Amino acid sequence: MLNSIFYLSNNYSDFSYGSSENSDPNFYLSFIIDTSDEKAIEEAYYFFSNRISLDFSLSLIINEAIEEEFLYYLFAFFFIPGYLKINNKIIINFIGGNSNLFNDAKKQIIETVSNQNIQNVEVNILHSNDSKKLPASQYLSNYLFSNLDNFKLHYYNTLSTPKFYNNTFYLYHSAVHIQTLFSLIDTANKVIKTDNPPLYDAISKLQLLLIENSDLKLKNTSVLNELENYKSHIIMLKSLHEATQLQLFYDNEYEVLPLWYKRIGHALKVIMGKRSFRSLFNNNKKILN
Amino acid sequence: MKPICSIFFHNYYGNHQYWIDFFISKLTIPSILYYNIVCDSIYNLQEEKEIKRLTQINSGNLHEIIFRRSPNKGKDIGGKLILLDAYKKLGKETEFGLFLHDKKSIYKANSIKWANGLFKIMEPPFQKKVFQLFTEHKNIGIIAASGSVLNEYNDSLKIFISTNDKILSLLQNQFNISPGNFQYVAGTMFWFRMQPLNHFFQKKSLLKIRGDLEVGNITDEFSGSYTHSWERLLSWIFIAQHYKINAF
Repeated sequence: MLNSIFYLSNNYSDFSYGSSENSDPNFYLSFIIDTSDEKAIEEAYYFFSNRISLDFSLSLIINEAIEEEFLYYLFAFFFIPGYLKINNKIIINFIGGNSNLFNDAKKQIIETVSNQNIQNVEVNILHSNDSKKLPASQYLSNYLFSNLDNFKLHYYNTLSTPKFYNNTFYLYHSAVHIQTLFSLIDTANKVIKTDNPPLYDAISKLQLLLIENSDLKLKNTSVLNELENYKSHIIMLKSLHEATQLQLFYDNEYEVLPLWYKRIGHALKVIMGKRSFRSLFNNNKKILN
Repeated sequence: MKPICSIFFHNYYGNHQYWIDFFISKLTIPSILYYNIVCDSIYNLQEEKEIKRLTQINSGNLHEIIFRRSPNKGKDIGGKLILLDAYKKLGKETEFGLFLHDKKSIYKANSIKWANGLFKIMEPPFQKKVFQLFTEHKNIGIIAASGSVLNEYNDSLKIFISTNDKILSLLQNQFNISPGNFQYVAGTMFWFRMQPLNHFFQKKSLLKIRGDLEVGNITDEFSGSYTHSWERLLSWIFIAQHYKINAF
């Protein structure tokens, strides 16, 4: 696909279909949950926990302030292996509600989730009001389409602009069935594929390279982390090493003694024949044998 | 037969096929395996694509595998809290539990011997004795390998001889844990009854507790940590509910 598509649904059967082997890497399924519906949240957790081969993200309907209990329930979803990450970022969509609620919830999630050592979360606030036809020229970033005609109009319109690739569209499941959507997008993309095959190939390769780049960044961070672990292991091993223990013993048992005490010790060594008298006045030669 | 044991296994060093085979070959009772993978560990990035295939495996006494992926936070304790959280939310209750992780304290000279000693709890004869003891002695809450049960409390000084002394006192007060003694299983690999843990964590958020643990591959050799303090608390939760620790 030239562009990414998020298909928002609260219908579990869509997830089985959309995660089939035929689906496109730029096609994402997002499950709609009302944050005030505890039962629906529990059901969704159970469903996705038991089917980790299904990739999914969550689209939250927020009509009231988020409570801490829900927040930690939400984080539990992020640990399910199928939860969607794009460029190593966890993706959540917000729908419904008002901008104050959205902004508070977004801040709450991003701040609190960092205590789980999850640093990259992308919250997309979606707007939807396409009961009537939208003008084709209107800029539609983070717009949730529930009207298929509007979606088609804007998708084709986007393809005729210089920035016709790597955009993200959001579509509500009631607009169209997944299978129909795939064939619709395929038909639309053929315009570019037929008119300019090298360009289409280049975009496909670019998309693959972006994914590869993101994987490599993650590997790089992991390698650096492991390197830090090894550094701390070396510090620990050194601290337990015999030479360190010996040095500590010398510093604590001998080095701390007063100078006059040490000098008497040297004089005793001379008297006992362990050291030459002359060596007392020579810094380079102290040992008799 | 319904699973009677939940295994909480934390993996940092990858090698998933080895570990799945390990559980299939060693388990003597019907079990569910909760398996946490540290997703930002370099060892696990190589095997990322394998996870979906591994989930299909169920064989012998291994009835089901429930995977989780999490960044490194609180080492194996953080991973085990995530797995306990999944256990709590999924409602697949079992009578017994087992904590394990792919232990490799590579900075310790005797790490291999230490790890082998802890893993002997998975040997079938050991398991047989574990369930015999749990059946015969209702007051046993934890069963671990001999040599792994420690006690750092100094009765005359009234302090823990540990870098974790202050954090331990703080957490004890915060979570109202008052054990009769301060024995704990070092390494957090042991068999246990689920009921005392269910009771303790019933009204607590396990992920919130995980939020306080330290990031990365930390140790408590030089200073205390919430992670290592929870290593102790996970045993004290049982003792505070009048259960005993047994080791052989």
